[in-house]
Amino acid sequence: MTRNHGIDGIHRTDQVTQRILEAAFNCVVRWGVAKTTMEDVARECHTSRATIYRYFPGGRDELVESVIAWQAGQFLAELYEVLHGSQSLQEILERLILFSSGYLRNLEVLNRLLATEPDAVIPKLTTEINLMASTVSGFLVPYLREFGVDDQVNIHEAADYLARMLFSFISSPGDLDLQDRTEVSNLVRVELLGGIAH
Amino acid sequence: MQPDGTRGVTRVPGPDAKEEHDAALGEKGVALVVPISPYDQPIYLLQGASLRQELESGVLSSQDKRLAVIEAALTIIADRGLRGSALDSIASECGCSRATLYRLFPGGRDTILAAIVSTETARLFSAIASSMLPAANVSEAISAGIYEAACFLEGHRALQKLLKNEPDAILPFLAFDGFESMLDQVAAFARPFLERWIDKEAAKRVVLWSARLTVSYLLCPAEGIDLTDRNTVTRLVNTYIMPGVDILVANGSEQGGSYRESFAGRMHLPNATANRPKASSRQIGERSKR
Repeated sequence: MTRNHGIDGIHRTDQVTQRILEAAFNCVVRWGVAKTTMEDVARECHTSRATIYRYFPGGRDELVESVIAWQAGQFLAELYEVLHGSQSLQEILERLILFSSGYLRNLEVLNRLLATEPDAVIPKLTTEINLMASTVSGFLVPYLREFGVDDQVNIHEAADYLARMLFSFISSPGDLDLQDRTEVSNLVRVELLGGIAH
Repeated sequence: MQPDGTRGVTRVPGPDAKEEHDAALGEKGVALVVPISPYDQPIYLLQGASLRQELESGVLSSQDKRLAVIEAALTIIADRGLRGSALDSIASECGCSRATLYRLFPGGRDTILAAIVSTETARLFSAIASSMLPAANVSEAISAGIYEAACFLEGHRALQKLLKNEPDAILPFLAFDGFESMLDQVAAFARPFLERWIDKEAAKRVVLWSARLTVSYLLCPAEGIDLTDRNTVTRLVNTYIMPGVDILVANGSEQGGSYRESFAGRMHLPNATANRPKASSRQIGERSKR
């Protein structure tokens, strides 16, 4: 989501964008999404509102979207590390669930927003989930290719199915303990991979 | 997967439930008996008749009057959304006074809205139940349940109106804690229908799994996957769910469906548990210390 606005040169643009994103994230953690203004963000990173608008011409909405995308990017980067070296699809998904459920449980900003401003968060995780689901399924496709799926399975549809189920189980695990290796392994084997890779 | 014909069957509405249904429509076409679930008493739903007439007549019980109000409120929500469904609007749609509404629903509009949620949930469950009942095997039962739920929800004008214009009113029921309590209800209600063929734990698990799948594809349609198309549903169920059900059944025993049952002996990946790097749990530990 990094924007490139010519005259500053790529390097500087990235640095400024990064500073603004961090400042905006801090504001959201402190005050929530609804109460964070462009003025707050400007003050937080010692710059002017005009500068922020120059980097995020879409204003507050674009800034909030970019903060989310930035956070999601950080999460995916860590996830990628965690999955590295896995020997099978079963193992990939087990690691993915163990890591993600722990990550989200400890993600203070998410928990706080869910408590104080569910309206700001829940649509992102339900009706607007297509975007995120397609990111996750795009993330999974290469693994499905690498480890192979059953003959009749369409890789893209299967990746989409997996992304949906992962979102559903991780955000609302019900009675499941997603930090428990046995339960996670069982879940992956039956609900996730049962029809995809025997 | 043989039907064992013993578990759960006695609590499931009889095969003639549909006929009872239609017969109960009666000469006036007013009251409809709907078996909500294997556990619940039938409820009476009002269909068709002129609301004003019904409310003013002394014929209807207060339960029927309440249902008439619920119908009117649903119509208003379908047309104008929650924001347009003030108590006055409901009263004028019903052709009765606010006082009448307060007599029927002592809490006023909030009580009416809560009653709508429980009535519509009962209707949904009832539709799913009638569709799962004649199924001949697990696959058919799951497919029928998903298809029926999808048709009911997609065709629900008030729900669709809210999802489109006032999603904040609906989405909390479909994510996080709200979704979990909805899943619990679905599991408690639909599980017995699958217990004809698979054990209790497995049945609960498969119901929850199907409900997650249904909600996901309905809220966020995927290209080429329309759950109101019977063939699509059958294909999805046979592709993604049935192989998992077979694993649960093959795992045998009464506890075949429990998540605590390990499949370690059946894993194909070498050293499934022994030499696995603990990267993920270490990462999680580090995060929580930060």
